[in-house]
Amino acid sequence: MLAGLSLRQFHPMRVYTWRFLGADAGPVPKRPDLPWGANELDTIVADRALTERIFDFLVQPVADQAPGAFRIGHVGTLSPSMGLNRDGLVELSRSSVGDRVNITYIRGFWDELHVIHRAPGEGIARSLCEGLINRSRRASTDAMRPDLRPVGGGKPSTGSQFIYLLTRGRPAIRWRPRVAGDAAAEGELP
Amino acid sequence: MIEVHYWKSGSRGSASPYGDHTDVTGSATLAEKAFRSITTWASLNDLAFRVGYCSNPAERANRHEASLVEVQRENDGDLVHISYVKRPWHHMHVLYRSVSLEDTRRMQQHLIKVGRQIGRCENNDRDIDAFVGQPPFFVYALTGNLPQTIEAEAAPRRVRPPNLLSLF
Repeated sequence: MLAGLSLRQFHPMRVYTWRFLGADAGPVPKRPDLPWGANELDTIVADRALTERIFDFLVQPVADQAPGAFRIGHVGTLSPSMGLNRDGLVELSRSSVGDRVNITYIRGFWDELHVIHRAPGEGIARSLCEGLINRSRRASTDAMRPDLRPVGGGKPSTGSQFIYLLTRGRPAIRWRPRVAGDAAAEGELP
Repeated sequence: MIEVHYWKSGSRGSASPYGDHTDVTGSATLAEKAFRSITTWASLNDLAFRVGYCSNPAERANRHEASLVEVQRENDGDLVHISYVKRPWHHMHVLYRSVSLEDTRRMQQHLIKVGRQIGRCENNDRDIDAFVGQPPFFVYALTGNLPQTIEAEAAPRRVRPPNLLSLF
Protein backbone atom coordinates (compact mmCIF):
# COMPACT_ATOMS: atom_id res chain seq x y z
CA MET A 1 0.00 0.00 0.00
CA LEU A 2 1.46 3.33 -1.00
CA ALA A 3 1.34 5.99 1.68
CA GLY A 4 -1.08 8.85 1.12
CA LEU A 5 -2.96 7.17 -1.71
CA SER A 6 -6.42 5.75 -1.46
CA LEU A 7 -8.27 3.25 -3.61
CA ARG A 8 -10.82 5.90 -4.60
CA GLN A 9 -8.30 7.80 -6.63
CA PHE A 10 -7.77 4.80 -8.86
CA HIS A 11 -11.40 4.12 -9.64
CA PRO A 12 -11.26 3.48 -13.36
CA MET A 13 -13.24 5.81 -15.58
CA ARG A 14 -13.67 5.16 -19.28
CA VAL A 15 -14.14 8.32 -21.34
CA TYR A 16 -15.55 8.28 -24.86
CA THR A 17 -16.54 10.83 -27.44
CA TRP A 18 -19.17 9.93 -29.99
CA ARG A 19 -18.09 11.13 -33.40
CA PHE A 20 -19.80 11.18 -36.73
CA LEU A 21 -17.30 10.04 -39.32
CA GLY A 22 -19.55 10.13 -42.37
CA ALA A 23 -22.71 8.44 -43.64
CA ASP A 24 -20.89 5.14 -44.27
CA ALA A 25 -19.36 4.85 -40.84
CA GLY A 26 -22.20 6.32 -38.73
CA PRO A 27 -21.58 7.48 -35.17
CA VAL A 28 -18.76 5.67 -33.40
CA PRO A 29 -17.43 5.98 -29.84
CA LYS A 30 -13.76 6.81 -29.64
CA ARG A 31 -11.38 7.35 -26.82
CA PRO A 32 -10.65 11.07 -26.75
CA ASP A 33 -7.24 12.51 -27.38
CA LEU A 34 -6.71 14.72 -24.37
CA PRO A 35 -6.23 17.65 -24.31
CA TRP A 36 -9.03 18.17 -26.79
CA GLY A 37 -8.03 18.83 -30.35
CA ALA A 38 -10.15 21.15 -32.49
CA ASN A 39 -10.59 18.39 -35.09
CA GLU A 40 -11.97 16.08 -32.46
CA LEU A 41 -14.51 18.59 -31.17
CA ASP A 42 -15.73 19.33 -34.68
CA THR A 43 -16.56 15.68 -35.36
CA ILE A 44 -18.64 15.10 -32.22
CA VAL A 45 -22.19 14.14 -33.18
CA ALA A 46 -24.34 17.22 -33.76
CA ASP A 47 -27.44 15.50 -35.13
CA ARG A 48 -30.34 15.17 -32.69
CA ALA A 49 -31.66 11.88 -34.08
CA LEU A 50 -28.24 10.28 -33.90
CA THR A 51 -27.76 11.45 -30.32
CA GLU A 52 -31.11 9.96 -29.35
CA ARG A 53 -30.02 6.67 -30.89
CA ILE A 54 -26.73 6.75 -28.99
CA PHE A 55 -28.57 7.63 -25.80
CA ASP A 56 -30.90 4.64 -26.16
CA PHE A 57 -27.95 2.37 -26.84
CA LEU A 58 -26.10 3.54 -23.73
CA VAL A 59 -28.99 3.85 -21.32
CA GLN A 60 -31.03 0.76 -22.18
CA PRO A 61 -28.75 -1.71 -20.37
CA VAL A 62 -28.86 0.30 -17.13
CA ALA A 63 -32.41 1.66 -17.26
CA ASP A 64 -33.76 -1.34 -15.36
CA GLN A 65 -31.23 -0.91 -12.61
CA ALA A 66 -31.54 1.23 -9.53
CA PRO A 67 -32.19 4.96 -10.05
CA GLY A 68 -29.01 6.95 -10.40
CA ALA A 69 -27.31 4.54 -12.78
CA PHE A 70 -26.86 7.36 -15.27
CA ARG A 71 -26.84 11.13 -15.37
CA ILE A 72 -26.97 13.67 -18.15
CA GLY A 73 -25.92 17.31 -18.37
CA HIS A 74 -24.12 19.83 -20.52
CA VAL A 75 -20.99 21.92 -20.20
CA GLY A 76 -19.51 24.76 -22.22
CA THR A 77 -15.83 23.89 -21.90
CA LEU A 78 -14.57 20.31 -21.85
CA SER A 79 -11.75 19.78 -19.40
CA PRO A 80 -8.36 18.56 -20.63
CA SER A 81 -8.47 16.12 -17.72
CA MET A 82 -12.14 15.20 -18.12
CA GLY A 83 -13.11 12.09 -16.19
CA LEU A 84 -10.24 12.36 -13.74
CA ASN A 85 -11.46 11.09 -10.37
CA ARG A 86 -10.02 12.85 -7.34
CA ASP A 87 -11.34 11.97 -3.88
CA GLY A 88 -14.75 11.02 -5.23
CA LEU A 89 -15.05 14.07 -7.51
CA VAL A 90 -15.05 13.52 -11.26
CA GLU A 91 -13.81 16.45 -13.32
CA LEU A 92 -16.20 17.62 -16.06
CA SER A 93 -15.41 21.17 -17.06
CA ARG A 94 -12.44 23.50 -16.70
CA SER A 95 -12.26 27.12 -17.82
CA SER A 96 -9.65 29.75 -17.17
CA VAL A 97 -10.12 33.53 -16.96
CA GLY A 98 -7.03 35.55 -16.07
CA ASP A 99 -5.47 33.89 -13.05
CA ARG A 100 -8.74 32.22 -12.05
CA VAL A 101 -9.50 28.60 -12.92
CA ASN A 102 -13.06 27.35 -12.52
CA ILE A 103 -13.55 23.59 -12.41
CA THR A 104 -16.84 21.75 -12.19
CA TYR A 105 -16.87 18.27 -10.70
CA ILE A 106 -19.59 15.72 -10.16
CA ARG A 107 -19.78 13.56 -7.08
CA GLY A 108 -19.99 9.80 -7.08
CA PHE A 109 -18.33 6.89 -8.73
CA TRP A 110 -19.07 6.33 -12.38
CA ASP A 111 -17.80 3.77 -14.84
CA GLU A 112 -18.15 5.61 -18.13
CA LEU A 113 -18.32 9.19 -19.33
CA HIS A 114 -19.68 9.76 -22.83
CA VAL A 115 -19.69 13.05 -24.74
CA ILE A 116 -22.71 12.43 -26.95
CA HIS A 117 -23.63 15.74 -28.57
CA ARG A 118 -22.30 19.11 -29.67
CA ALA A 119 -24.95 21.83 -29.61
CA PRO A 120 -24.45 25.32 -31.03
CA GLY A 121 -25.88 27.06 -27.95
CA GLU A 122 -27.13 26.65 -24.44
CA GLY A 123 -30.85 26.76 -25.28
CA ILE A 124 -30.57 23.91 -27.76
CA ALA A 125 -28.47 21.83 -25.37
CA ARG A 126 -30.98 22.38 -22.59
CA SER A 127 -33.96 21.38 -24.73
CA LEU A 128 -32.17 18.27 -25.98
CA CYS A 129 -31.29 17.26 -22.41
CA GLU A 130 -34.90 17.63 -21.41
CA GLY A 131 -36.00 15.65 -24.47
CA LEU A 132 -33.66 12.82 -23.56
CA ILE A 133 -34.96 12.79 -20.02
CA ASN A 134 -38.53 12.51 -21.24
CA ARG A 135 -37.41 9.75 -23.54
CA SER A 136 -36.26 7.67 -20.63
CA ARG A 137 -39.54 7.19 -18.77
CA ARG A 138 -38.33 4.59 -16.37
CA ALA A 139 -35.49 6.68 -14.98
CA SER A 140 -36.22 8.67 -11.86
CA THR A 141 -36.38 12.43 -12.33
CA ASP A 142 -33.84 13.08 -9.63
CA ALA A 143 -31.28 10.73 -11.11
CA MET A 144 -31.71 12.34 -14.49
CA ARG A 145 -31.66 15.94 -13.31
CA PRO A 146 -29.82 17.81 -16.04
CA ASP A 147 -27.13 20.30 -15.28
CA LEU A 148 -28.87 23.39 -16.55
CA ARG A 149 -26.50 25.85 -14.98
CA PRO A 150 -24.03 27.63 -17.22
CA VAL A 151 -20.55 26.48 -16.34
CA GLY A 152 -17.36 28.43 -16.74
CA GLY A 153 -16.67 31.89 -15.46
CA GLY A 154 -20.20 32.34 -14.23
CA LYS A 155 -21.41 33.72 -17.53
CA PRO A 156 -23.61 31.91 -20.02
CA SER A 157 -21.43 30.41 -22.68
CA THR A 158 -21.99 31.70 -26.19
CA GLY A 159 -20.06 28.90 -27.88
CA SER A 160 -20.73 25.20 -28.30
CA GLN A 161 -22.30 23.19 -25.52
CA PHE A 162 -21.38 19.54 -25.06
CA ILE A 163 -23.84 17.04 -23.66
CA TYR A 164 -22.31 14.38 -21.46
CA LEU A 165 -23.74 11.16 -20.12
CA LEU A 166 -22.38 9.33 -17.09
CA THR A 167 -23.23 5.67 -16.63
CA ARG A 168 -22.68 3.12 -13.95
CA GLY A 169 -23.00 -0.67 -14.25
CA ARG A 170 -23.22 -0.71 -18.04
CA PRO A 171 -21.58 -3.58 -19.94
CA ALA A 172 -18.38 -2.36 -21.55
CA ILE A 173 -18.49 -1.41 -25.22
CA ARG A 174 -17.32 -4.24 -27.46
CA TRP A 175 -14.50 -3.03 -29.63
CA ARG A 176 -14.12 -4.09 -33.23
CA PRO A 177 -11.38 -3.10 -35.62
CA ARG A 178 -12.71 -0.88 -38.38
CA VAL A 179 -9.38 -0.27 -40.06
CA ALA A 180 -6.59 -2.81 -40.22
CA GLY A 181 -3.99 -2.00 -37.62
CA ASP A 182 -6.40 0.19 -35.70
CA ALA A 183 -7.81 -2.52 -33.45
CA ALA A 184 -9.74 -1.43 -30.39
CA ALA A 185 -10.05 2.08 -31.72
CA GLU A 186 -13.78 2.14 -32.29
CA GLY A 187 -16.84 0.80 -30.56
CA GLU A 188 -19.99 -0.73 -31.87
CA LEU A 189 -23.42 0.81 -32.25
CA PRO A 190 -26.19 -1.55 -33.35
CA MET B 1 -0.65 23.73 1.99
CA ILE B 2 -2.29 27.14 2.17
CA GLU B 3 -3.45 28.46 5.54
CA VAL B 4 -6.71 30.37 5.78
CA HIS B 5 -7.22 33.10 8.42
CA TYR B 6 -10.57 34.70 9.14
CA TRP B 7 -10.45 38.25 10.55
CA LYS B 8 -13.18 39.24 12.99
CA SER B 9 -13.84 42.52 14.77
CA GLY B 10 -12.68 42.60 18.36
CA SER B 11 -14.24 44.39 21.33
CA ARG B 12 -11.65 47.20 21.24
CA GLY B 13 -12.34 48.23 17.68
CA SER B 14 -9.58 46.13 16.21
CA ALA B 15 -9.57 43.12 13.92
CA SER B 16 -7.94 39.85 14.85
CA PRO B 17 -7.24 36.74 12.78
CA TYR B 18 -9.49 34.33 14.66
CA GLY B 19 -12.98 33.03 14.14
CA ASP B 20 -14.65 31.51 11.15
CA HIS B 21 -16.48 32.82 8.10
CA THR B 22 -19.62 33.57 10.13
CA ASP B 23 -17.97 36.32 12.19
CA VAL B 24 -15.71 37.97 9.64
CA THR B 25 -15.89 41.71 10.16
CA GLY B 26 -18.37 43.75 8.15
CA SER B 27 -16.64 47.01 9.04
CA ALA B 28 -14.82 48.57 6.09
CA THR B 29 -12.55 50.55 8.44
CA LEU B 30 -11.47 47.48 10.39
CA ALA B 31 -10.99 45.44 7.24
CA GLU B 32 -8.76 48.12 5.75
CA LYS B 33 -6.80 48.34 9.00
CA ALA B 34 -6.25 44.59 8.97
CA PHE B 35 -5.34 44.71 5.28
CA ARG B 36 -2.78 47.45 5.88
CA SER B 37 -1.12 45.47 8.67
CA ILE B 38 -0.99 42.30 6.54
CA THR B 39 0.35 43.98 3.43
CA THR B 40 2.86 46.11 5.31
CA TRP B 41 4.16 42.97 6.96
CA ALA B 42 4.20 41.22 3.58
CA SER B 43 6.10 44.07 1.97
CA LEU B 44 8.71 44.10 4.73
CA ASN B 45 9.25 40.40 4.06
CA ASP B 46 9.31 40.88 0.30
CA LEU B 47 6.08 38.94 -0.19
CA ALA B 48 3.51 39.51 -2.90
CA PHE B 49 -0.22 39.75 -2.34
CA ARG B 50 -3.45 39.66 -4.31
CA VAL B 51 -6.94 40.89 -3.39
CA GLY B 52 -10.02 38.96 -4.49
CA TYR B 53 -13.56 38.12 -3.50
CA CYS B 54 -15.64 34.98 -3.28
CA SER B 55 -18.86 33.68 -1.81
CA ASN B 56 -17.76 30.58 0.04
CA PRO B 57 -14.12 30.66 1.07
CA ALA B 58 -12.07 27.54 1.57
CA GLU B 59 -11.66 25.77 4.90
CA ARG B 60 -8.95 26.65 7.38
CA ALA B 61 -6.30 24.91 5.37
CA ASN B 62 -6.38 23.30 1.99
CA ARG B 63 -3.85 21.74 -0.26
CA HIS B 64 -2.59 23.04 -3.54
CA GLU B 65 -3.69 21.25 -6.68
CA ALA B 66 -0.57 21.48 -8.82
CA SER B 67 -0.02 25.26 -8.72
CA LEU B 68 -3.67 26.09 -8.02
CA VAL B 69 -5.08 27.35 -4.73
CA GLU B 70 -8.74 26.78 -3.90
CA VAL B 71 -10.51 30.00 -2.98
CA GLN B 72 -14.16 29.09 -3.39
CA ARG B 73 -16.28 25.96 -3.35
CA GLU B 74 -19.94 25.81 -4.17
CA ASN B 75 -22.12 22.72 -3.88
CA ASP B 76 -25.02 22.43 -6.28
CA GLY B 77 -26.66 19.06 -5.73
CA ASP B 78 -24.19 16.46 -6.89
CA LEU B 79 -22.21 19.07 -8.79
CA VAL B 80 -19.31 20.87 -7.14
CA HIS B 81 -17.94 24.11 -8.59
CA ILE B 82 -14.48 25.01 -7.33
CA SER B 83 -12.62 28.19 -8.20
CA TYR B 84 -8.87 28.25 -7.97
CA VAL B 85 -6.28 30.98 -8.24
CA LYS B 86 -3.10 30.16 -10.12
CA ARG B 87 0.34 30.32 -8.48
CA PRO B 88 1.35 28.87 -5.11
CA TRP B 89 0.10 31.39 -2.56
CA HIS B 90 0.78 30.52 1.09
CA HIS B 91 -1.81 32.40 3.13
CA MET B 92 -5.38 33.51 2.55
CA HIS B 93 -6.74 36.26 4.81
CA VAL B 94 -10.53 36.63 4.73
CA LEU B 95 -11.00 40.27 5.66
CA TYR B 96 -14.44 41.57 4.90
CA ARG B 97 -17.98 40.24 4.74
CA SER B 98 -21.02 41.75 3.04
CA VAL B 99 -24.36 40.62 1.67
CA SER B 100 -24.08 43.05 -1.24
CA LEU B 101 -22.02 42.05 -4.26
CA GLU B 102 -21.62 45.68 -5.33
CA ASP B 103 -20.34 46.59 -1.89
CA THR B 104 -17.91 43.67 -1.99
CA ARG B 105 -16.57 44.67 -5.40
CA ARG B 106 -16.17 48.28 -4.24
CA MET B 107 -14.23 47.12 -1.20
CA GLN B 108 -11.98 44.93 -3.32
CA GLN B 109 -11.20 47.82 -5.68
CA HIS B 110 -10.47 50.08 -2.72
CA LEU B 111 -8.08 47.56 -1.18
CA ILE B 112 -6.32 47.08 -4.52
CA LYS B 113 -5.71 50.84 -4.64
CA VAL B 114 -4.38 50.80 -1.07
CA GLY B 115 -2.29 47.70 -1.81
CA ARG B 116 -0.63 49.27 -4.84
CA GLN B 117 0.59 52.12 -2.65
CA ILE B 118 2.02 49.71 -0.09
CA GLY B 119 3.84 47.02 -2.05
CA ARG B 120 3.69 44.14 -4.52
CA CYS B 121 -0.01 43.99 -5.29
CA GLU B 122 -0.28 41.36 -8.03
CA ASN B 123 -3.78 42.23 -9.21
CA ASN B 124 -4.11 43.18 -12.82
CA ASP B 125 -7.04 44.00 -15.05
CA ARG B 126 -7.12 40.56 -16.69
CA ASP B 127 -7.81 38.82 -13.37
CA ILE B 128 -11.55 38.64 -13.14
CA ASP B 129 -13.31 37.24 -10.09
CA ALA B 130 -16.38 36.29 -12.05
CA PHE B 131 -18.46 33.54 -10.52
CA VAL B 132 -21.98 32.58 -9.63
CA GLY B 133 -22.50 32.49 -5.90
CA GLN B 134 -24.87 33.26 -3.09
CA PRO B 135 -24.39 35.95 -0.41
CA PRO B 136 -22.66 36.62 1.90
CA PHE B 137 -19.61 37.63 -0.10
CA PHE B 138 -16.07 37.90 1.24
CA VAL B 139 -13.03 39.96 0.31
CA TYR B 140 -9.75 38.15 0.81
CA ALA B 141 -6.04 38.81 0.45
CA LEU B 142 -3.61 36.12 -0.66
CA THR B 143 0.03 36.45 0.35
CA GLY B 144 3.00 34.44 -0.73
CA ASN B 145 6.64 34.34 -1.56
CA LEU B 146 6.31 34.49 -5.32
CA PRO B 147 9.22 34.97 -7.70
CA GLN B 148 9.71 38.51 -8.87
CA THR B 149 8.41 39.22 -12.34
CA ILE B 150 10.62 41.42 -14.46
CA GLU B 151 8.90 43.80 -16.80
CA ALA B 152 10.23 43.68 -20.32
CA GLU B 153 11.10 47.38 -20.28
CA ALA B 154 12.82 47.18 -16.92
CA ALA B 155 14.84 44.07 -17.77
CA PRO B 156 18.51 44.73 -18.42
CA ARG B 157 19.22 44.93 -22.10
CA ARG B 158 21.74 42.57 -23.54
CA VAL B 159 24.84 44.51 -24.57
CA ARG B 160 25.95 43.67 -28.06
CA PRO B 161 29.59 42.65 -28.43
CA PRO B 162 31.61 45.19 -30.41
CA ASN B 163 31.83 44.57 -34.09
CA LEU B 164 35.49 43.89 -34.75
CA LEU B 165 35.16 44.91 -38.37
CA SER B 166 34.25 48.41 -37.30
CA LEU B 167 37.64 48.75 -35.59
CA PHE B 168 39.46 48.53 -38.91
